[in-house]
Amino acid sequence: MKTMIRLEAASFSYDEADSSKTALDDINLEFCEGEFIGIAGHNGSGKSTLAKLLNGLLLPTKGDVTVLGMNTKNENEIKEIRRNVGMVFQNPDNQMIATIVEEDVAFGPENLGKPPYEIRDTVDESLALVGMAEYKDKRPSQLSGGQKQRIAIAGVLAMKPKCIIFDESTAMLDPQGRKELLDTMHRLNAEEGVTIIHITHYMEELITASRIIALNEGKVAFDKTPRDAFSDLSALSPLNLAAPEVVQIADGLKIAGFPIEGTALSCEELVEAIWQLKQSL
Amino acid sequence: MNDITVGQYYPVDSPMHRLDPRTKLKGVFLYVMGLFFVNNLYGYGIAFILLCVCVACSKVPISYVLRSLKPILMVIVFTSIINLVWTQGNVVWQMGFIKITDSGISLAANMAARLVLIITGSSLLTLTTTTVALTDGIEMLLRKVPLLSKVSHEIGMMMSIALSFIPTLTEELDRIVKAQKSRGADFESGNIAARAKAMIPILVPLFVSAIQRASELAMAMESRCYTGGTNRTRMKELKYRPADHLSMTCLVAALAACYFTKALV
Repeated sequence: MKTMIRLEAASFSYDEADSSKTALDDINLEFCEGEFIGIAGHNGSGKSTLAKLLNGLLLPTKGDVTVLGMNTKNENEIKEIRRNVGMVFQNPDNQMIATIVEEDVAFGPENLGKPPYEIRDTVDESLALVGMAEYKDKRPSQLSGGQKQRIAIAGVLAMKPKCIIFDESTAMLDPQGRKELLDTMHRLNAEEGVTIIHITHYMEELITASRIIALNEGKVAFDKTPRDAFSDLSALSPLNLAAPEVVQIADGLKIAGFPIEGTALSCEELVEAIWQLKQSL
Repeated sequence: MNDITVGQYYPVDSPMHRLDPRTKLKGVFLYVMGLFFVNNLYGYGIAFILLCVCVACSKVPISYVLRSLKPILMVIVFTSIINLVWTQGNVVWQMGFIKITDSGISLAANMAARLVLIITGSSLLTLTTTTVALTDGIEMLLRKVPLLSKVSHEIGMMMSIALSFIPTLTEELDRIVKAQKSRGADFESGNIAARAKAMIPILVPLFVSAIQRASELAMAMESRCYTGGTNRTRMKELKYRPADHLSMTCLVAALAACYFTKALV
């Protein structure tokens, strides 16, 4: 697989005078094209700082971040980097630029200097991709939180990015809005081949990720598949991360003396495992 | 709270609505300027007919157009009375120390007619133009103003962001007021000084949140490749159509007619 983003010994400190107070400390990571990567960590673990390093909103104080071979420190390539790596933020209200939905979606391609007829096409296409085509003439204030976040995604998609970072984009949404957003992420990943980097502290949102990277105190605590990550719950608790409900139930059953095979990640898997256990008894 | 609209846009499809916002902005500017040169009944007659034609073309109900006069009705009445009483000239009517002169009457009538025409004329602009089109039009027109051409994009961007954040900040204000009230804040009693002081716990959090929002928005704009106005294109470009040229010609002709009515008196 082709490398999308690579971090080499990247460190970041918000305090310019004292670089020993690091928000991120010596991070080495590689994100590949087409992956669905979950980044988890409690408040202050450095996950939002990491997100901002990935498209050059912040530059590493030590080490390098390269996007498709372009270093984020290179000012001439920053526009190309940001076109390829889009970002959806936490608060839907603070990322709407225009007063009309379609004008907001057009903001990115307008900045790239695309001709008007081409912008029109990409805007309609992007809105259709997130299922918001019929809302194009609405005001953002008339939409729900989940819908606003989908408009934000459309705004990013209009730049035709290879990768989208979701920086705690589900945190301010109700369960319905979170589900809508997660479905959209997975669809973009599966059908459009967009690399997704999803930053969250809800572990159940990462069950279907291809990889989970946990951060703690500015360092990578682990980088595993969900199945491996949830097979050892004792590794999660020092990171202040709560395992998904299904995993917790399975773990509780094991402790109570029911030896369930493997690590169940979904309700179906857990039912299957319990069924098999019952048959073997 | 959610459906707050700035200005007073009246959503119908009419020839007036379809005009380029630049044409309408320039038109209102010329109309207002032109009115200051008019000084006789014929001139006002032409200006009034012109306005009536524009209102008819806009398909906005007359009652809607006249509503814009309500807030300044007092101003018109007040200035008329002042002009009537304070102007020197040949006394037409006298009661005690109040003298009404012929030049007073003509000045008062002039001012009232001017104010009514200016206000209705410019409100027709906001009634028939969306805020988006209006800010776009202003941005494009400022490009041609010598000192402002370099910052025309920034001014346009600032206006449209300010407009798009009004609903968000109104909601925020509402939330802060409720939060402070629920903790026992009192905004209704006391004299003006006490009430002004009670505003501080509302304004400080509102400003803090506005600044935080602004910094987050700046981040969002940057991550969407925003680097200012250079090399930026627009999805909806403003284009003058034949109707724009035609209406501009008619307007200039009517205003010229207004001006030359001077020769008639």
